[in-house]
Amino acid sequence: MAEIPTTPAAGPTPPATGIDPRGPRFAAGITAVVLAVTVATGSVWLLAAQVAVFAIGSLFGVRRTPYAWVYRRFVRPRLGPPADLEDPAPPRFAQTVGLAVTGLALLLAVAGVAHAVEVGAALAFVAAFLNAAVNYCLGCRLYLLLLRARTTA
Amino acid sequence: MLTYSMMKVWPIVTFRLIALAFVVAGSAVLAAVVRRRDGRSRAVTGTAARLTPAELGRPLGSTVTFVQFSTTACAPCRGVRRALGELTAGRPDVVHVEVDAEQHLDLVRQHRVFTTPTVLVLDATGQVRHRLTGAVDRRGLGEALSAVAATPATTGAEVHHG
Repeated sequence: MAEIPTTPAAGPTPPATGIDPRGPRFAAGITAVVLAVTVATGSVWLLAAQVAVFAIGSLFGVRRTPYAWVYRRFVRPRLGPPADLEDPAPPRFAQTVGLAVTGLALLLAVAGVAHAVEVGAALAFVAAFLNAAVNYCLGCRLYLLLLRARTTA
Repeated sequence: MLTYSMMKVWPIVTFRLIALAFVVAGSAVLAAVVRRRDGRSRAVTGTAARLTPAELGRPLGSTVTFVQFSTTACAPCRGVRRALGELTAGRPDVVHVEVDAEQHLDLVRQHRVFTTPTVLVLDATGQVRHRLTGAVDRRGLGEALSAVAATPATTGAEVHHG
């Protein structure tokens, strides 16, 4: 007879309520466009604006960002109801990853490091583009690598 | 007509536009690579890696067991969970087990899981036969199910004769 283990392998509990999964992908699309224009112009102000959006998403949740508002106000009414709801925690973690990358670039730019704006915006662009285009989860990879590294040490 | 200041600024603008073109092209290539890899099931050969009912906390499926590694902050994990739920519905011989990677780092290391979701496809003996990562759709999972169910286990076949 099979032994019943004391700690069965169980997945994370699904959320009771959720958000429209198309919202974060739409937001990732806008984010990619803003970051592309930032690379093209090298504008520190545009980078600062995107840092502020990432900070709002990271601190208060993705539903509080201006991009989410644009999605709710103009896009969702044309799409109809979503097939499934999504846990808001993963996209929020992605905002934190974006904040870390662009925030560091902003600090370096203010400190006078050459091309910090362009390089930071380019790195964040790749992540936002992959998220919007093929639903790639860079945060998933980073999070697991972080966990593995932390417990090895 | 170009003024002096425009002539000074123009090379910088061109440099940025060329840089942007490279970044966009690079991202498009990466997206193509991700799309090719995700949703495709890769056969695991040359290893005898296996998972036991004790490690999973439940009996194996008599045909196939899907072991999905997930984390809390993982958007595609939810889609894969739903797809596997649909695929295993009405199939008592096919089992879906979701493992919280954070709680089972031993299994994460042992099976070299580097991202979530990662799905290991086990045969009836618990041997890892196929592997999928990322936002896999139902079709890719269905292909893995057919592939593993169609070919008998290479090792542990004597179990059936014992």
